[in-house]
Amino acid sequence: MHDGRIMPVRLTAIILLLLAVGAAVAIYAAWERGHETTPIHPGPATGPSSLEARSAIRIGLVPERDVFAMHRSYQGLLKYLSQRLGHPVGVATLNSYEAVLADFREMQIEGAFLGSLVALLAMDRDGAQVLVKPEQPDGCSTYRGVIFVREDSPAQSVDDVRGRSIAMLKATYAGSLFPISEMAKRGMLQGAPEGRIVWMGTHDEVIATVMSGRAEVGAVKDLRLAAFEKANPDKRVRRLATSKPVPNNALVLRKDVAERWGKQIAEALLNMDSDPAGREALAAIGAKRFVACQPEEYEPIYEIAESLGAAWEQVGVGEARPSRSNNKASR
Amino acid sequence: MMLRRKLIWVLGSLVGLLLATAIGAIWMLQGVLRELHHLDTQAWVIIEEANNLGTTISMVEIELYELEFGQQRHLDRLIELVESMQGEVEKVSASYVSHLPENEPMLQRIRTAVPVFAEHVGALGTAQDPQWAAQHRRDARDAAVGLRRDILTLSRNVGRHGEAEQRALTDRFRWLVLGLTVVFLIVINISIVALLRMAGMVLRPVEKLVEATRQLGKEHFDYRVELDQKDEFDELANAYNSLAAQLQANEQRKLEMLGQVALTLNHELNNAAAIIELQLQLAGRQSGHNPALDKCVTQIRDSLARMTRTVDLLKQVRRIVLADYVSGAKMLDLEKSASPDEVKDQPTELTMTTDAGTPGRKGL
Repeated sequence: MHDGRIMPVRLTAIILLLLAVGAAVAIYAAWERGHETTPIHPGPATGPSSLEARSAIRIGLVPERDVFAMHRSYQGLLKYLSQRLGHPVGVATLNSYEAVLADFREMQIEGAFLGSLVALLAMDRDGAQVLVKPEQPDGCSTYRGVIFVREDSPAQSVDDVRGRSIAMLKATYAGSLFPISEMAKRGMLQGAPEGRIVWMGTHDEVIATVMSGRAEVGAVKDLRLAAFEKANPDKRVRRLATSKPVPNNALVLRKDVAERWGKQIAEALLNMDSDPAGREALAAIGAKRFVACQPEEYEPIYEIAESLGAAWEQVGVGEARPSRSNNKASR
Repeated sequence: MMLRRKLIWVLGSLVGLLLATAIGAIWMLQGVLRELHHLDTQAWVIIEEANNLGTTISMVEIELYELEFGQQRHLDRLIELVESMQGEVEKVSASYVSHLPENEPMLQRIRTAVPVFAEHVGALGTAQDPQWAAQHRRDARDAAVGLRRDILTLSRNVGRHGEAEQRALTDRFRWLVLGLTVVFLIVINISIVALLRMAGMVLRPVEKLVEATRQLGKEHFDYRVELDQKDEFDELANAYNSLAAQLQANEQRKLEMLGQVALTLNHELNNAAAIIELQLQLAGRQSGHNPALDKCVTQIRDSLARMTRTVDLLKQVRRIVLADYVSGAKMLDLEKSASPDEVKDQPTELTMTTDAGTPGRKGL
């Protein structure tokens, strides 16, 4: 009697076990099928960089080095900002500094990380507001314009630039305003052009052009030149002139956007370094933290603009030169 | 207990065999599906990716033209396309087909040319100097032409390889289906044999026990069931054999007792019958030829003969066959009990019924 009860239980257990094995096989087969029918070619990802997201806050970037690397490096920062604001933040990479000013006017972008000259022009002409600037791990948050040659060049000073080809960058403080100012001081821009100006797209291209010998002189921001020297210790350059410091890559917002989002964006960026995710995003763009930036920091540009006189047209950013009174009025 | 074990063993083996066959079949079919998937991801997808790569290069060129003619100033689309192109190259590189000896040189050239193309595209995107831009455009175009040529050749090679793999897979699948058909036929036959064996494990002993029961009904107590199964049926057969042996012994004892009774009666009645016979002979001689007396003597002699025959039958009893005597009482049916064959093939209950045709022979 006792055995008679146990055996059906065992029999049932065995049958259940076999059924379980069968079910497992069936599930495995179904899983394999499902696994195999998983789409292999997902469509192209549309990240926060897509300009199609019209509701996003679009921050403009102008490449000063490798376009693709710069685009990638800012993705973390914009993602972090999106999370902190609870609002999508996208990127708009532009092909020139003039394009940034055009986008500002046409309200295609809400803000941009800009070099000092274009930042000042945006503030001066469109009432944009500068918020913050990145500070590098060495504590530096400014840059200077540098006129340089290869170490093997006979040029020893800016006076020796006369008659030589010079690689420059349009609409930038370091790449055009400062070298034009230095050449104008020496009368090199009067009359027929002496030598040839080669307009490049990025600071790194200017350096590459000089180092390859396609141009003899170059004008770039010192941070990019220092980065080049660090990466290429065997390649030496000679600095012929250095400008006064101006804010590096400050974030400038359109006036209406600054009124709506300025406080939140500034708060989020200024506190980034207290957050691990924020520090990671900062490291990606080579910064330690963001610090506040004031319009007064652009004073050297006003000085040069006022001293340039007719040579201002050579800078290639329109006839209207920046004025301190415009900037104060916009504030 | 043992029978259950045997049944479970046979059933379990059968289910196990079926399950193993099913798992094996599924595994092999999955293998074919994996091969198909492999073919899809490693050959056709690579062709698709290669085509995508060519398309992406064209789209990059369109973007560059738009930038050049001022129709576009945003580089995001261009960046997305170049990154997509790099991703497509990675996908193409991930496939072993691309690393086959005939494809490896093309792949290496593509991997080398894509960064060069991207570098020139990046420079073109931001170039301000016409001479500088023209140089980058030439370099980018040269890189694009080389890329297209290598992509096309790679795509063709991969296509040929894929077709060869597909043919091999089709052949393999055909043989697999044939093999599985044969295996399943064998398994079905094994299942039938196993089920028949399982049925035999129950039906054979049951048939023997039913036959034994029939023999018992016919009072063939010497019938024995022979089983060699070492299970519950074996135990049942042993029980039956013990019962039959016990019944046989009881029957034997009853017959022996009846024989002894018959001998006693024979002895006693023979003496009495001899004396009566002598007395009848004496009475006949003394009476002369008196018809009435002769008739009485004859009747007495008949009765004596009947008694003697009854005793003889009693001595010859081989089994006990009862018949109704009066209501609620039974008596021995001497004729049937002494007969060697008469009741052998009749059902048990017949031996217990009243012999209505011989009302005068109701017991000793």
